[in-house]
Amino acid sequence: MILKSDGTLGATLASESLQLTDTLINGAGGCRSRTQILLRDLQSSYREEDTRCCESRYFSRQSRLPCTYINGNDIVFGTGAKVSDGISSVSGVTGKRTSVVETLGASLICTDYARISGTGTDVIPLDADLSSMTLEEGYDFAMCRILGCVLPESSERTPDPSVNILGYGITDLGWEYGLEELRGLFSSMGVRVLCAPGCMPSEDEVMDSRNAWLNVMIHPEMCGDTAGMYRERFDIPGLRPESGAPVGYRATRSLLVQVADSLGVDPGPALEMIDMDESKVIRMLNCYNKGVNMLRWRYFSMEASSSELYPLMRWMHDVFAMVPDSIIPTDAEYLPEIASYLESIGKSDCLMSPIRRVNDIVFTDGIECSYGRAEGGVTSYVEVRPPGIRGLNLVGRCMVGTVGCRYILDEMLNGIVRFRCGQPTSVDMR
Amino acid sequence: MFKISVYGKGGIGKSTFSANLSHGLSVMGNRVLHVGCDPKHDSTRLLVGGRSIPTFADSPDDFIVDSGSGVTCVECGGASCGTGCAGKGMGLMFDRLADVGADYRVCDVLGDVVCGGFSIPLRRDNVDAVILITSGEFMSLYALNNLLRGIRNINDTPCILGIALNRRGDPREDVPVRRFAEAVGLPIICDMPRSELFKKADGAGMTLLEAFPDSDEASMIRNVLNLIVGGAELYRASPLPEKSMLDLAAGRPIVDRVDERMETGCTFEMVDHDRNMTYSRNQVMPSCTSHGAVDMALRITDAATVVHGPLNCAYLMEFAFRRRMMQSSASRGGLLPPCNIYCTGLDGGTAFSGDIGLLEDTVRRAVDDGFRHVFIVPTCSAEIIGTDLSSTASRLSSELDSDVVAVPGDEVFLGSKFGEIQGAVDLLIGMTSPCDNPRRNTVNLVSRMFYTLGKEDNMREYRRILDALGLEVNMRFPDFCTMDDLKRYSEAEFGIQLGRSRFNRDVCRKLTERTGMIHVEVDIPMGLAESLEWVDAICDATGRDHLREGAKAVLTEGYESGIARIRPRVEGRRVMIYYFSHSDLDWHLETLNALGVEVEQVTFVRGNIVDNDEKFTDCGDIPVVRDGDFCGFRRDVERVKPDLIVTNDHNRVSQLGIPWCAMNSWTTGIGGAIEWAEKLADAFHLPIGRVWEGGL
Repeated sequence: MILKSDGTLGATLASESLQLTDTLINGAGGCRSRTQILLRDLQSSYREEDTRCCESRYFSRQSRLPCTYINGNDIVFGTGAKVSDGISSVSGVTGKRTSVVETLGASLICTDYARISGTGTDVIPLDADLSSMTLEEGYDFAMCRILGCVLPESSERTPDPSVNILGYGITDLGWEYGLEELRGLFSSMGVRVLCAPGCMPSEDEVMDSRNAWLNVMIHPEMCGDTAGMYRERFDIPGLRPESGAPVGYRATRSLLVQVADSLGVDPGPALEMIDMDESKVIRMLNCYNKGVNMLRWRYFSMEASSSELYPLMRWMHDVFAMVPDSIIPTDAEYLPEIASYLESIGKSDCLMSPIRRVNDIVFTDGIECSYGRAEGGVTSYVEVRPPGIRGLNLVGRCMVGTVGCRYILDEMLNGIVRFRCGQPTSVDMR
Repeated sequence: MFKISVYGKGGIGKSTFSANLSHGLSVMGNRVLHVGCDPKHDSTRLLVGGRSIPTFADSPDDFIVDSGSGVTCVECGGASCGTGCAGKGMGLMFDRLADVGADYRVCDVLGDVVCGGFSIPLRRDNVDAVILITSGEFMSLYALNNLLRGIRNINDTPCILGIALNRRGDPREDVPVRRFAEAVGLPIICDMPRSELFKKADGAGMTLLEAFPDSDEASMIRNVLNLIVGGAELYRASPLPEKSMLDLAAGRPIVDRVDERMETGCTFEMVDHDRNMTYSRNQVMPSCTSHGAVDMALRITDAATVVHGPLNCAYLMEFAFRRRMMQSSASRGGLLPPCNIYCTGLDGGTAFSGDIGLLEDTVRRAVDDGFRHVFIVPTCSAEIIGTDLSSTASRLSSELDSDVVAVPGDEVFLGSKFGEIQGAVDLLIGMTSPCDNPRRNTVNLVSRMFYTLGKEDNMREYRRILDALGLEVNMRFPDFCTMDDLKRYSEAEFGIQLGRSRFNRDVCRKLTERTGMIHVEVDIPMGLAESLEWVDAICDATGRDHLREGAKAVLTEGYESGIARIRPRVEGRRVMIYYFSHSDLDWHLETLNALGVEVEQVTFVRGNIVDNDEKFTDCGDIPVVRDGDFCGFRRDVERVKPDLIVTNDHNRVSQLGIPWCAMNSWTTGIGGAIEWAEKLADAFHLPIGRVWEGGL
């Protein structure tokens, strides 16, 4: 994508991924319709319109993501009545609480949420200046506020080691597969995942989240405030992965060891799963007709969240001997680590430099990947984050754990289209 | 914290009165926060020795000042006159003040509740007592009544302490104030005479309480302070109706005391002005001020489009545009246009402090990137704060030696589903040139919908008709082209308006005015009759009568041979139509008739969107249900037992356990009708329902 989003989208995604509330967008209809397209791509269990239901104000045909549809009159007369009406209508369908995402346009009219709250409807206004936040900050703000409103004060540690997975969810590529992978790895160490608030958890899971031993912050840039809230209210420490998100074999191992150390459990079984998978993949790479060695000296560029970019960049350079050409973290969480690493390999100049079209491999969002591939050329594109064009994900594309490793290798190696003879006369086949 | 807000007409003495309240509360041993909410930022002057303090607008991180006498002072201030949104600034400032501790907070607010931002100090969670200040002048009382209306809308709880009369000098000015106070049921808590002492204290940069603590005036202020700290009774707002205010002004008895009108003004019924459609019942119009203009401006492939608004708007527009381009690329012959989009990143802070700098920087960036043409598209946020885009664009054009233009707003703010598309098209029309030497036998196609109508399949169908008349397409408007290409518009002999919507008509009228070219109005051709209508319309308008019959014969033969191939498969079958619309059904009926299919009933279901230009289909002898619903249709189906249902609402119809066929075709023209006929024939034999849900 050429442009970045702001906290408004982040707050909407957080609210929708938590699913404890219905999300009502307080804004013009345009704010809703495109968000809805994006959301639909990100949620494989997207709730469709209930066709048995004749019609209701906010859930008829196109209004899956309810909205106040502010218009010219509302600008003059205020949105109080409409928001109030909208909330009654929305909660009348699902019975849930409503979280109201305030767009900049609506914020200029200054809806009085306190008055709406006093009418008996239980509203969670997401009314900070979302337009001045990054997507990550808006996500964290909304997640923190909604959880803060719904979680009861008391907590009781689970008897066995348990964790919550924070900062991971529908903003990640193939998050359902990623969650399954992380659960499997933690489970092998005897650690139960109580809740992943960003992954459309059940209400019971959310309530159980206050009993966890540890919060694993997969993408710390998305969950700093949320982890802080858990620490303050429930005394649950947050773990920031030293090597970044579990992207690539090395970073995945690093996270598992860090979690095991914090909880006092044995990481052995999980590491063994990683080793086994890695061995299989190495065997396949050895037989790969184009040869993995051809990656050496190839140039790559990345634009991704810093927690994802940091381990991925290191994996490409340290393991495959590839050279970074452009490194663009979309947030500052791991910026010091990234800058220091690039300096250590003499490539400081590629930090934040624009992505050139002469790269061999580009890791970026799905839209850029689709455009890049359509334009032809010899660059291999690896989709590492939404938004994208390709909606259906049945084969398990995701970024984290061993599944993520296979996906990334698949995409980058199969995407390389530079001509190479490949005939039996070729040197490596003699 | 006990929160007091002081309201009243401008120049009535609110700042002086509220500064005295703050000083007095402080002298009584309280911690006081004094908040000046007027952009002219002079409320705290008397509390800090007559000087001016930094405002929140000037210095958002360092604007809280200790008066030295126990009053914490803040001033909101505002952006340069005529820019930014001071109301938004109030909201931001109150967020920032949430952590400032005090026993009392006194807000001195702008003369009237001019927008939502200025209502913040009146809101239920933000005020405990409102003091209204007035003189005996009618306009002052009129303003007070408006304030009461605002208070009732915003905070319909007992929250008013009373009215403070600040006399201007007329000895009888208390009379109308007392009549008003009685009529609205509020006490007069202070009757302050016109006094030189205020002027003297002001000259010394002090409050009257501080300068003349033993005066009668000081004693009156202390009475009000005692009411505040003593927890005096509070009252609800009961504004007077307009007629009673006129009675008050005329000195007549006030009869009607209660203004029942609640000023909500919200409505769910909206008109889509571009398409002349009404969204009614439980449907609201998904309007936007900018996405239509952005889509339109991005069609000029060598121009930059600057979205003046929050990042989120432009991000989602980029996403939607590029996603659609990618998905439609294959059907448009691989066309993958660039997306030259920029965004100013307007946010709450810049909406308050002024946004012109942001806009200038972004336009400069686009020009630095090599764009000589720049469109500026405002979002609703920019429209609400009233940014002057056109003069900024004009100034930047000169400064940057580039063509920078602002897309004008819609006729009705947020009154278009395709935000500002009309304004953007008008700009593009203005860039075409008059037609002086057209090329014979060339036409332009004009339609809003070229995303879909520009597909190769559709173009083949248009060409089928145009070829029969010896015509070729010069260009499509508005479709992807460069700024220079736009000038080629006038090279065609004439234009064809595809579709009879109000939007298309307006565009073609303006194109005719601009270029002098005639535009022939036709429907998007579906089936035989509409294709033949094209032939007639073009022949009539352009004097090609000699080609008419030959062209019709070619088209008719093509249609009939295609239908004849399919007819044996479906002839005599019985269908019902369930149509979620009331508009044109002509070509479907034409095709079904040509196929020999019996149409047992047509049920029109009126949706929430009413097309005010809709053309009703004449169904002849076929039984018709207008304004039907699904429950009724289900009963009709049980009675009629058709072989197949034709519908555009398959989600519901697929529940009926009968084969169904959708109404759409991938392409237009004769080919489209034949393609649909083929689908219809196949539909009789397809498995019914969502078989895959039972197992893959």
